[in-house]
Amino acid sequence: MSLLRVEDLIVEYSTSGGPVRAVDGVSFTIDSPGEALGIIGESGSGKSSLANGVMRVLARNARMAGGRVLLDGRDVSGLPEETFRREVRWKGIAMVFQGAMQALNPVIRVGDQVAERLRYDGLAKAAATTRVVGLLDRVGLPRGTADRYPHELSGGMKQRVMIAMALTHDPSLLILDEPTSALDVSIQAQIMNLLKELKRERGIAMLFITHDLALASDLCDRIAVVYAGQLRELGSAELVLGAAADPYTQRLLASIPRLHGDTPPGFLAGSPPDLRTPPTGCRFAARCPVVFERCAEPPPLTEIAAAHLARCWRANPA
Amino acid sequence: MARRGLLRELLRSGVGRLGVAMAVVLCLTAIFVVLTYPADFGPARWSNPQVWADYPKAVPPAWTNLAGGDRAVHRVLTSSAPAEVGQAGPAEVRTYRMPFAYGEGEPPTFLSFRMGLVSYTGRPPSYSVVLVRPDGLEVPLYRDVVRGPRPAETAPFVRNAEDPFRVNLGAEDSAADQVVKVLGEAYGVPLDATDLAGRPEPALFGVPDGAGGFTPLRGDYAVEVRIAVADPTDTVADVAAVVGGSVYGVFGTDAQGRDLLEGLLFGLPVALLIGLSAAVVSTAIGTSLGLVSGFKGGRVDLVIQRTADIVNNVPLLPLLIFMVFVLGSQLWLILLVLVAFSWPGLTILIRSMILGLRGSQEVEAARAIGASTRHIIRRHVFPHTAPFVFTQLIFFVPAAILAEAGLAFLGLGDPSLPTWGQILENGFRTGAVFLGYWWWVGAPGLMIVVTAVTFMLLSLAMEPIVNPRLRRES
Amino acid sequence: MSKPGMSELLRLDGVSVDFFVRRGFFSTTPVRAVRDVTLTLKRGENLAVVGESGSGKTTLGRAVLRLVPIAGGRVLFDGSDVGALAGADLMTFRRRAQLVSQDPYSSLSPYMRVFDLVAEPLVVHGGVSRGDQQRRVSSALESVRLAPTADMLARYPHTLSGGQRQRVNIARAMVLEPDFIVADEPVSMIDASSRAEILSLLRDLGVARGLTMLSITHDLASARHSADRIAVMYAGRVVEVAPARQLIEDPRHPYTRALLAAVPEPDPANRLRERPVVGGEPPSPSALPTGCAFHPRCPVAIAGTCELVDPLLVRVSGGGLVACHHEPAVGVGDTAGDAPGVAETSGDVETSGDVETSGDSAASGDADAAGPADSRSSRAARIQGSSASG
Repeated sequence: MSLLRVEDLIVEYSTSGGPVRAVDGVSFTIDSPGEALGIIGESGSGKSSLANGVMRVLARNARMAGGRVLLDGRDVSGLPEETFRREVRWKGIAMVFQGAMQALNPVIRVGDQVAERLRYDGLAKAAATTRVVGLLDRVGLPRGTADRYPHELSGGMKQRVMIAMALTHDPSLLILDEPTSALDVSIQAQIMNLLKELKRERGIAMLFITHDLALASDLCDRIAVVYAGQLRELGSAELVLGAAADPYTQRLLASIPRLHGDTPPGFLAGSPPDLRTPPTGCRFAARCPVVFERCAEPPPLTEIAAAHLARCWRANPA
Repeated sequence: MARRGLLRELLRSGVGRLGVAMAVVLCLTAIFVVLTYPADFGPARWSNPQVWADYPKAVPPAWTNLAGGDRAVHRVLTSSAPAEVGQAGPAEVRTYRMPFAYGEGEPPTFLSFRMGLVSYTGRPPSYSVVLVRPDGLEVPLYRDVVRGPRPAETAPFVRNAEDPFRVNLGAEDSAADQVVKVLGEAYGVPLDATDLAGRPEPALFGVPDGAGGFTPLRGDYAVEVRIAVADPTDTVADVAAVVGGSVYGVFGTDAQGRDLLEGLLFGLPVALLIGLSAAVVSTAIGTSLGLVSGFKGGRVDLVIQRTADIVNNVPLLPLLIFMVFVLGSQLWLILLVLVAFSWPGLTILIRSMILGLRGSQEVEAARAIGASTRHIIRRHVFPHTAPFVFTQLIFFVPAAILAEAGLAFLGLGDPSLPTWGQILENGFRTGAVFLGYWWWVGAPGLMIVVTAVTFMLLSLAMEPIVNPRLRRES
Repeated sequence: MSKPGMSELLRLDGVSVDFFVRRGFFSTTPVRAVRDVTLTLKRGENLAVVGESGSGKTTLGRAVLRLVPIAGGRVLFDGSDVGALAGADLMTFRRRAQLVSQDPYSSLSPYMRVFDLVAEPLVVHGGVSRGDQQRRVSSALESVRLAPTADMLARYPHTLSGGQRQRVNIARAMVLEPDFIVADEPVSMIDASSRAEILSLLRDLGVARGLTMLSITHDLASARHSADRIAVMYAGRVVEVAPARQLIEDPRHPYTRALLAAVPEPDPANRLRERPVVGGEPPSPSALPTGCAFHPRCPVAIAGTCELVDPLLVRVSGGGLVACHHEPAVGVGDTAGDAPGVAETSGDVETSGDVETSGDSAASGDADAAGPADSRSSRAARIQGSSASG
């Protein structure tokens, strides 16, 4: 039984131009504790909507229009909100949001904010404080951070606070949505190291959402590439990074500037399709360097090799 | 984008559509008033008692009668040519008939007679006024002779040239005595003039019920006026009888009989003028000072801001009262003071917006290409503040209207001009509240509220325009 | 004073920039964001200034364009002191030197159409007829690969994607046909997959028009492919300058090494090992450490030296410039630099590619403070340690 199973998830936004499917039937699993799955996509690919959908914190004009999410075999997407809130959110699944550093209340001390859910669940103040101080220490913050206000902390320190906050209830799954996008590169490396440690020593499974393939390789055992609301490739890090089968993934890889070697980064012209009127065939066809006639028919996500799925006629001629 | 997009945005929400619709109605009405009312409406018509002499005094609007009411309807009966011309000896007798049907359950509030221009050469004409009732009785109400020639006067003798001659028939003793006599004889009920308690109308329009009161007599009535002239060339202009109603018009009348609809309509363009001019001038001053203050910085900024702080803290209403008391209650003065003390709020706000914009990437990019400060203000600063300024302007209009109404209400307005506040003041002074003349204070209050709400709706609908987050949706 | 070489377009002489922080109710105190920076750019050269928060790189870019006042030193553009320009000369500078802003979302006025935005520099500088404006705007848009259709010209920025907006920004910078561009993190707010395109566009434009470029960025990997030279800044100072490939293959300053080690590469083996990082965070300019600003975090800080003496930026073997006590200054005869007058006042010497003319260019004293004269390679090996993975 997988730790996390997402089946055919559909997230729909209602806009003035009609409903838009930001996530259009995405399925994946995280099988074991301590496994990290990366969700890679451009902005607008649906990756954040995917995470918000699993966590059931979608925006007011969005809803889960199909599919289900199972945590340890239990269907959590169908639970009533009250039950989900009480039992699953933050306890089974916790999340570090994009721009999380802005989520801290500027007039409340950091320690009190981290303890908020603990106190809400009834833990006594002293016990909560002990736990919080322990967590803050574990994420590498100096002593006394709990008594500080957010504005006294740097960006990297605030992000560590957010990670500590996500760990208060020992979740089995941690979702991280672009956790380092606003940070300096050296701080980013520190945070990634921290995540690696947490993953190893606590056995927390992670769903890591980013647009940066290189960053994902720093943490993720398996990688899923999302484009225009659909999965295009899913496989182990070795397979996706070393033997990418999907042209979009290949172009993404080629666009990463390499520190060593003289190959200049390639680029991908154009922009993703407007999901208000999604293309009828393959959604990447308009920008694909190897597009051919078959692409007018939408390719299914198929297993092209063991534990390696791709959505491309070139990779799957059958 | 600015203007067309503005209208489109306004019409996008229900609130905006309602606000725009109301504003259009108000504007069209104001234009109508400006085109049709005389320029000297205040002194020449509103404050002129002659105009309102035939109107019922302090009566509620006519539509209050619709919901099963049985109030007396106001009638003005005129006749310009006699129905009959006959001879009575050497005199020519002209009989004017003015019939009317009376079906109300309430007697009229008064009955009056009016005679226009009379011109005679020899002996003055004599006339009598008679009420013809449906039960066939005729009650003589009044008889008199036109005023004779004065010592130095020469023929032709002209009377009632400037103002018509009016007499309230019900106030005359003759009417009371006559009706008592006629009814007493016809119905065999002993009646005394004192039974009428000074109001003969119930008797004139009713049948004695035996208990000292009168039940209404419904049916066809007529007022007959017989004028006997000595010389057939003598002329009498129109004669008229007014059967006073107990309701009138759309908004009723005040204690002087003035039709409140006329007064309130007049008040509309005045209110709009006050509101818009005060708002425009105040906004212009506030915005420019805010721009200068934000951009120049240094001493200029300091001076402007401290001045704004001081002015902002001056209590406006007491100051207005004082100034009006000392300098007299003229509209332009009130406007001047309103404007002079309402600019600081906008100055302070605009300045802080400017300070933020100055550091923006947009302004920095403009500086990098060498744009002058004036160019930057015009193209990169002002457009960001414009929607906000415009919203403030619209919001200020009802504030100005309310300020003026408040002043007038306190008795500091111009008494000859029927602004809404002035009408309110009249009403309160006459004790409308205690006397139950709800329409007198309700109608102007309602107009003020409706106008204020229109502008509030508009500024509410403009909020999405000011809020940049909502602007992103194309 | 030095005489600028014929091919030198921009020279920074000991430039320092302050910004003011409120202290107490009435007074402000100056905080030095850029400390004593000396750099030169040759015509046609693309110099990338790399750094993290608090490095001062963005402030430096603004100072070069005279968008913030300079507290010390001078900026010389084509021989003239930028700070002293006025009137017509200033307008000429504003025509020849352009800025590409960082944020395509907030640098374009939402009230102006694409045509107005690109034509604005022409309008500001005047003297261009309407017909010429249209011609030049179209040509500028074509050069950034945005087709100047009637539809595009009439669009408002909020209907464009981030990448398209940034192209409009670049077109705006190109329309006056400048000689020099400061690109302030031009792609940091754009999707990773679109960055390469914009950067290559900038590079192509630079090459095609012989532009001199100062690119401010935090992305070392992109800088390697688009810049000729890279200058690394830390806490307001330049700590290393070298040709791009050389800086990356043979970094000399410990901070440069730390930065390089922190850059992620898409290697699936990464997740199995710790990334070698330097602890701590860059210091705030208002609370700088004594001596070398990097010493609290430096893995090879020399006790007794690094926390007391701030190393000077000197030429080292290999031709680059480094400010580190471990890297001894190398005498003249290496790749060229500028005249000594500069070196004496600020202690910093910079390579501009020209042949060096005088002898005392090496700043004094550093060879002594450098510590034991280990061979460079063994020192490098010790410092690099496990970061040798790529």
